[in-house]
Amino acid sequence: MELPPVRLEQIDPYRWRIPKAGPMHVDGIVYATEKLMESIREDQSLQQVANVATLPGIVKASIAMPDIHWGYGFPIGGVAAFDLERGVISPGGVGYDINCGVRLLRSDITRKQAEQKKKELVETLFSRVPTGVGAHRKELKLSREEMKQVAQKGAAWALTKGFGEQADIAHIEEEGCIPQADPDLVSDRAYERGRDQLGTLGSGNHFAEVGYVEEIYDESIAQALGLAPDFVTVIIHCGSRGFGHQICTDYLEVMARAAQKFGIDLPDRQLACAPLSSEEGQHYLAAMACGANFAFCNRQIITHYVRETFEEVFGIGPKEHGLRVVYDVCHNIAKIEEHVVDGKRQKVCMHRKGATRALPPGHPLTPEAYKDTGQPVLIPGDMGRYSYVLVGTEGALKETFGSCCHGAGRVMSRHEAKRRARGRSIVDELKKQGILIRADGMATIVEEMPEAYKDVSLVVEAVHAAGIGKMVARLKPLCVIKG
Amino acid sequence: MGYRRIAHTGDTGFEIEGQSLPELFREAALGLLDTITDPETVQTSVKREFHIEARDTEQLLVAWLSELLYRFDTEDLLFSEFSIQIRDGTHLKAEAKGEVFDPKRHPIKTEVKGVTYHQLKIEGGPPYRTRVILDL
Repeated sequence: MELPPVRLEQIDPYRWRIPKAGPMHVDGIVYATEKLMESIREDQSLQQVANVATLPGIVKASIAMPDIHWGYGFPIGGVAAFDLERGVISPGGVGYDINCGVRLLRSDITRKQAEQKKKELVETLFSRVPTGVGAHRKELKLSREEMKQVAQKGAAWALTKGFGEQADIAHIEEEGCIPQADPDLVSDRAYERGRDQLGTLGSGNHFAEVGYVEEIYDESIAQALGLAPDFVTVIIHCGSRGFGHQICTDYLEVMARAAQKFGIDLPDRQLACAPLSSEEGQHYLAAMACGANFAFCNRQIITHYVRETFEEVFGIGPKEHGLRVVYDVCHNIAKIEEHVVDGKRQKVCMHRKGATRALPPGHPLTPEAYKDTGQPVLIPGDMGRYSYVLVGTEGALKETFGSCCHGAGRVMSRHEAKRRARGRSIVDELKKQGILIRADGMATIVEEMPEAYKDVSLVVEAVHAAGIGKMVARLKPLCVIKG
Repeated sequence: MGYRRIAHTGDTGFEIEGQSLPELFREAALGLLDTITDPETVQTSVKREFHIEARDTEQLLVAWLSELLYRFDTEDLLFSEFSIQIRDGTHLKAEAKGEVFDPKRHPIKTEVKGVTYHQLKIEGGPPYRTRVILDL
């Protein structure tokens, strides 16, 4: 399938259209400022937005967030909704790391208290939270049966094993469990890969970070979220580890065959998909849910390790540190959601790859505690600068199926980062800025250095200005652990 | 011949070349190893056999690398020496030698999530060439 060259029309300062052309069923809509669009145009991501628009049953538009960059088949930062009867589901629209996501904890510890114990905090966190290549925790070696339970129950399984508190669950997207999971649709291979990896952070751009609230943009919303200036926060960013990666790998093969079987003409092999109504489509949804639940469980267990860390470092009990889950969001996921399309309520299959759900105040799926504020949206930045907390808006619900951006995106390859870092100590540079880093490999620190990333504030300001997210607070890192 | 790393913003990849398909597949395996750790540090105390079938040669290559990744994730095994036979471009039989990952001796580079089909197209022959992009 051939597409004509991508044309771009500016709609307003924050919205651009790729008009429907050739085999595209819908327009592409890109949220970005002019400045961001300059770098977006440099890679193939716009072409990928157009490619997604050719998929059967896509509803309304092929949408892209301001942090968009090119990925496999679907761009990263892409949002696409599909009609349940006529539409398809595609593992490439979710990503290898199923339910890679972010969890934010708030606390009653002050920045000053944390500064005084910074070194112990980073060392203890590093020893308590397994990170790195091949990381696994000996105590958490699961039997096949236990893994199936994890795949089915998600964060709730962690609770039954004493990880975390009941109150955590309501503040997790999907309450930490996608119910359509079917553990029998996951391969042995995936179970083998994931068996030793529950409760581990992984490597690459995953991290756990202790920081503090540096600036508040909306006081009443911040208060409802439990955030106050100069109080300590913790961000956990990780996904489904080898378990999810293998599920994706397995189903990419299934979908490659299915796309042929159903005669789906694709502009890019990596958009391999199957009709949602097909067995292959339903199986992927159910297997993907298992991967998602593993990740929810993972972040729940790591939360427990974080709490233990604070208790050890500050010599206090759980009531005193007040570490509570603000929210936990997915940013690589496919889900069945109900939305209003052309004035009618309709169920669609949402694909969010490098994008976050962002529901407004009053929405039935917005947790009780946030009914007046909107669902918290957590946007991590690089390890040297800042991260942001936003809430979802009516604008997002109306325009982007309740979706928002997810992070900064890289600007530099790992190779280039290594080159730029030659002769420098990134660890020391960050230390001078007051940020302590501990990682399993020096290579990771260099590859993940702040300059390798875009400035996330540009992305966040763009979604805020476009009305698809509302800025609430900015967080600054104090200590970061990486794999 | 051999493999050459290519710059990729988000992930990593390499271009590989081989005078034969088995050589191409060997270079791919070395490229993968080079992404995870330093190939020079991997000794050959362990031996494993592989039998893989696929629909076409591209799928075979992805399946081969995915298999090596799987062995690393589940058995902590790293392979640095390979003896590979390929039949009809769709059947692979290989013997690989390596050892168990030891964080004290094997420098940690990066964790690989998966092997993608991105820009993977085996051309020429001989020499055979392709790119392989790994999701990190």
